Amino acid sequence: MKGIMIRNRLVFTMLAMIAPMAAASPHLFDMGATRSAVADGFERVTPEQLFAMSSGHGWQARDGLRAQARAYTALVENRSRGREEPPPIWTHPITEDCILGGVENAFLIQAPPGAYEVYVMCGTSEAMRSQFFDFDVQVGADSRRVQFEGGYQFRALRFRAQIGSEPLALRFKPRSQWVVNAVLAWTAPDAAHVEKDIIAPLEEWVFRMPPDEWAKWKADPEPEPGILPPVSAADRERRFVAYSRHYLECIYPHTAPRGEELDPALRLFATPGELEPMTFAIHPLRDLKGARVRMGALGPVPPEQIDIRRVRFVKARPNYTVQYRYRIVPDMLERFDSIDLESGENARFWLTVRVPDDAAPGLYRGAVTFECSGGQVELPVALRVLPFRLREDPNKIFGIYYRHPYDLMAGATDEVSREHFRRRAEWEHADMVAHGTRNIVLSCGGGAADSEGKFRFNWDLLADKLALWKRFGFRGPIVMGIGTDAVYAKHMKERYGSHLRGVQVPPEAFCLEITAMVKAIEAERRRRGWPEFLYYPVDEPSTEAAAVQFMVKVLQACKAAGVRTYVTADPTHDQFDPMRPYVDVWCTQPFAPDRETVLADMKARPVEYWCYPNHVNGENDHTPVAGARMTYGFGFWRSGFRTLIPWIYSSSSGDPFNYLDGSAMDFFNRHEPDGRPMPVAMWEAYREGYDDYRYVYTLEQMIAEARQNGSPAAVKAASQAERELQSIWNAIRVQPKYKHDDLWSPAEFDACRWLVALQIMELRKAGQQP
Amino acid sequence: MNTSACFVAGVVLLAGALMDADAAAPIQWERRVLTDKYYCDGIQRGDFNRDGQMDVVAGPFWYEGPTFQAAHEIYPPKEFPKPPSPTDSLYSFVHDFSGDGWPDVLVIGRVLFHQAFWYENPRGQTGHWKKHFVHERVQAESPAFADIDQDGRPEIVCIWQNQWGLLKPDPKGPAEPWAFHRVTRETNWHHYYHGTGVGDVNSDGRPDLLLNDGWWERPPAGSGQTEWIAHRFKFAAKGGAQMFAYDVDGDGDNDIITSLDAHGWGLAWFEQVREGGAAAFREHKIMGDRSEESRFGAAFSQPHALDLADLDGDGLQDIVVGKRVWAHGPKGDVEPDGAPVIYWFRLTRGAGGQASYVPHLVDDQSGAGCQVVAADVTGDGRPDILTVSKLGAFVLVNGMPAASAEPAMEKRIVFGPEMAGQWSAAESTVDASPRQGWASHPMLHWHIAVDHFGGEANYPVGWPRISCALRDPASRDWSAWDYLQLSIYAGTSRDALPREPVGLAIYAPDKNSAYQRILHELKKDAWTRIRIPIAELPRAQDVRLMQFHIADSHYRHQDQLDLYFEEIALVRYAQPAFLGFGPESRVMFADTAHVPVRFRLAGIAPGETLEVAFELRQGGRTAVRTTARLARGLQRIVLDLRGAQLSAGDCELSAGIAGGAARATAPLRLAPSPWQ
Repeated sequence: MKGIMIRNRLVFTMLAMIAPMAAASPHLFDMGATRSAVADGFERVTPEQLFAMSSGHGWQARDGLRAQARAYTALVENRSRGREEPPPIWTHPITEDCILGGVENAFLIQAPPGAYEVYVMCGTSEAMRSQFFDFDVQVGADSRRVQFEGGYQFRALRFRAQIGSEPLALRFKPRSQWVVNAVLAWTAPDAAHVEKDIIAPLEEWVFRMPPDEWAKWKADPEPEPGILPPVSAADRERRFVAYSRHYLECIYPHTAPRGEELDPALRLFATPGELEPMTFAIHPLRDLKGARVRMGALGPVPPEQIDIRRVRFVKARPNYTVQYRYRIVPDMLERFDSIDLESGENARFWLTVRVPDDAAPGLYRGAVTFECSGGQVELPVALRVLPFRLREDPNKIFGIYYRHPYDLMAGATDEVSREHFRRRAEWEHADMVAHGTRNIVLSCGGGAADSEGKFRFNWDLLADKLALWKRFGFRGPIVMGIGTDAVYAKHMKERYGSHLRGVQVPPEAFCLEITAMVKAIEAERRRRGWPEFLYYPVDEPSTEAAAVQFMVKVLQACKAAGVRTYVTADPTHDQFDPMRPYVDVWCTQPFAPDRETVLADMKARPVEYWCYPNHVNGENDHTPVAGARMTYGFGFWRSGFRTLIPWIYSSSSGDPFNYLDGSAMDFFNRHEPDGRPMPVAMWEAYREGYDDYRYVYTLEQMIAEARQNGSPAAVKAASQAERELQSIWNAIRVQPKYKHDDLWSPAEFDACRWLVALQIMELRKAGQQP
Repeated sequence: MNTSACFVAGVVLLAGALMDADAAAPIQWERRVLTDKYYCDGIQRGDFNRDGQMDVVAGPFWYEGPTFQAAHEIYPPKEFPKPPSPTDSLYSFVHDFSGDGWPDVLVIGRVLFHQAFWYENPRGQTGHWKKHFVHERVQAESPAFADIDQDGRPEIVCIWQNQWGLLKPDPKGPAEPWAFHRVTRETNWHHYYHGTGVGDVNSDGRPDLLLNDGWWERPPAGSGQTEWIAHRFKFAAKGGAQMFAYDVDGDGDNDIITSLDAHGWGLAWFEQVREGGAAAFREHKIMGDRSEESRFGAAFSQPHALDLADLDGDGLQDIVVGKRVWAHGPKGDVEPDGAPVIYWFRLTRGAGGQASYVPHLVDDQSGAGCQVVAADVTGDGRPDILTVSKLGAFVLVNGMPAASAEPAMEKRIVFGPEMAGQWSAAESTVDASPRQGWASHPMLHWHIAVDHFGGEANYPVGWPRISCALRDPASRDWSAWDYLQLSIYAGTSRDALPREPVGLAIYAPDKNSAYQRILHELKKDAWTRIRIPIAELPRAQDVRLMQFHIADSHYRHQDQLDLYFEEIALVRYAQPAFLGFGPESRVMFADTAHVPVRFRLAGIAPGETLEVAFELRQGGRTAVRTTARLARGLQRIVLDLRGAQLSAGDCELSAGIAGGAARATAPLRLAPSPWQ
């Protein structure tokens, strides 16, 4: 704590050193509470300060204004994990407090007439998870819309303004609520000073890390970039090199294209209704302005069915809770209109083509155009539309852990926020379906029984979630988390820690109450006609003897209610042996045990093996894109497991776009300001793996049908198809975790899928013969 | 980075090999696919065109050596579906039946369904070979073809009309049907009898008949005794396939080698002992069922094809065994979908004469039918393996240099047992063990008594570990070496090691730039040799520390683990070698413009370069040829196929160093392009 205080003092001193230069202009206002810190050189502004000519600044009205202050300047205790952790964000005196308003208001600045530049920072250091901020900031005729969810994130806005005889007015017009941390206004003579000495350090602090924290972080080097091959005269002329590398292979900021990747032609094949990615990259030889990508129709695919994004590089930790090490990795795929490119830093563009359901089979050609200040290049694109549709395997479940926006909706206090969370949930459900995912983990919430033995659940909220689940065609039993910890706390007067850290054997009354809780949930489930729940009492119990002993009791208690149980644990650990009779669904991170063991066990008794492949979810590595496709496709086919259900659709700690703040790394999908999903590359690879699986499943079904058909041509084609499938099966280098090593090359994934497609087409042909 | 499996090679030696002073590195095998279609279940070799190069026969085709790419029909081929049954060609045997100096082919079909024929070599002419009837049926699951009666000509050993006997051609009338000569009395021998072989059990110089039910002694020639002398001994409950008599333990008498159940589990050798002056047998299991995998180092079902050969040139006959693929379809037998493997079991003899077999995986994408043959077909003096199954026909080329059992390697010990005092230990102990290891050296010994309640206060379920720093700056540069080689013996009180038994970390140079790896290969009570490519270390020129660790959470409280490190050494090839050679994609589109090829060039000094020639061949034609001057280390070469006029089908990639110092080949399949 003392260290933090010294650090803040140093910052204030630093700002104080520049204060004399900023005495008259610029005008620097730090919005917030009466007692929170004020950035040096800034003037404190509270909700109470109405505009007066004497002060030269203030609010136009007092109505609806309130201040918030929450400083995060030291490590925080995590009791569950038994350690101190970084706070969700590191606050700056500017960002540790703010002023919020629920009705339109204006902040007025009286200053000498002239042309001003205005900088506004908006955000809050409070969690405010259920608040969707949606407001306009208007300066003169210039208006900017600001949208973001909850706290810990900040937006910087810039305006140009002309002050005459009237005060400068910054108008805040809420749809839900507005929030502001700071306002800066300056004239041209102060511009360089403000940018360099105030805004740049502020943004580094807010959007990256405070300087003394940042000093602790070290960058891991990028993978060996390779050597840029000879550049053609045309490329030198336009000052960039266009190249294409398979989307399963990462391109880092300074990766050099390989010779064979230059002058690329983009090629893909797909079935009607299928989404298929293709990528290309630009390696700028100089700084380039105004880069754009456009593409017209590609045969039956209209331009609006071609989603064009760029790959954003982020600073990511090498593992979930690792501190002070980061590397720059390609991650989210974001929409863009026009971007500037820096010399030597790759820009990768990711296009996803959705083939219409009614697309006629055939070979279609088109082109994608990249243009920028240096010139333009047109890359040919070829699309083969296949003459069949992919089938779904009804016996497999593709699910995902999910933080449901309806939980945030339930806590929202305004209709705009509620509507936002409702819409985001719908978009995300649709996004899951588009990626083959049709199940999510849910929770009943609720606590221990009251004095009358009654449990209180928010059934209506759960019903809303399940209605959405059903509306989007989700399927399978639902993994249902229950409030075991609350019941434990009631009986033991303390909570157990993460992974059952410190857990003790509870009294029999605890077990009886768990049974009663499950019975109560089951009664409601049956009454409402909901699908089966798999009861999920504890996440990832440790192998410690006490934890296993506790698990046995909890699972017995659940099963006493006549339900099936779900446990996230590795069944190959023999410490879990005592739990085995009470586990109906083992959900384990790797594909382990192996296929033979899994199939034999599932045949011998009513147990299922599910997999939560977090190693390809970004928890510890954002780059195993090929591993993700293998896990979801050919690897899953080979594994014998029934389900893939990774953790998690999106995980954030602190600012969702700053992967270094907070106690743990942010990972997997993001969302845009309005709530639309923003995928990461691995999520796209999930879909491609899922499609690989569908190709294989379609072929397996058609082989069975051909055998049933019995015609010589069909049987012969079925035999040939079986041989092909077997050869692919044999080529799989079986691993419990497909990540980076010993995988197929990216090109081999497509070739194998194509071999399967060829057999499907042969079977179709043979099926038409006598 | 994608790492080819051959970069990390593991060898498992059973506990019995603890004192073996001549440990071999695994042979690198290269699979050549003759066909991926299912025509037959048997395979053999012979020089059918008499060009001095060995060819291969598998069912209806013979494949021309040394590339085996050109297939010639012997009789009209018929492709069979995988399920449910075998083909009409279970065995191919080669012999000059016509006596014209050209090798002919004998084909035996299914026990109850097919007549046997031999096909006469057309002596260089094209067209199908002339077919000659042999016999109505050949009964028994693994009929032998050998000169058991020592008349200078081989005969079929099989069952006919409930008797064992010899099916022999008339040398004066080879085209006539063969005659059956019984050697046992009529008994209820099952036509699907499992377990048959030929070998001299009693060392009288005369081959005897080996059956799962004992051995039948061949009487002296001219004795007039038609019925051979039965010595009954039930080797296995169900019986295997081919059986062999061989002096496994080097004590002067022949022992018996057999699989125990050709459609189930097990492989064993039976030591010949004298009981009451008569030969008796004591079983030594070589491989058991799945539950015994950790004990024996391998487990696969349906060992239905066996052969003996000295694969590693150490003078001892090793065993080659293949897992039969879908003998009774996809649902039949045990583990029908288990990996289609071929293994060789290396015979080692300890100083005290104790024999043991060490399993080595040859291939997991071929498997076997009824016949596997270990014989040199590439002309380099090393026995290769021929196998055929429902997945096709294959030659598995023995990649071991002919000159020695192991490619010449240079070695530098990094951590010897004399450095035991320099290792620091946490939650465990480390010392120098007087016990001698695999290569008869003293060993470093790491002992862990797993304790879930002691150790570090905050982490009672912790991470026992040992580490040692490289203090001498001169010892920190590993970049001129190919592998870090570890030889580790893992003893434990558990039934088997957990899935993640021990972790290895190499700080290069620090914890943040560490190479991390789980030593999955370790087996309970077995020696394991692990080679870690130096190329995988983050900064091989600045290695500072090595650490081994376990996670207590992977073990039970009070488990005991004793690890013996026989050597921790840097090794490198003394001669040029291609490691992990192959295309990045084993399947590509036929209109692909470039083929990237990856491999590591080893065995040349840092700073030196060699000219390497690369070739891509299709249908016997060189489509692309290029050369590159290369230094040691990881290589990625891109072959430019533009203008090569390749079509969909199989190709062969090769790389060679001038003068034949090293060569590597790999298959590449081209699929029809979706965009043409």
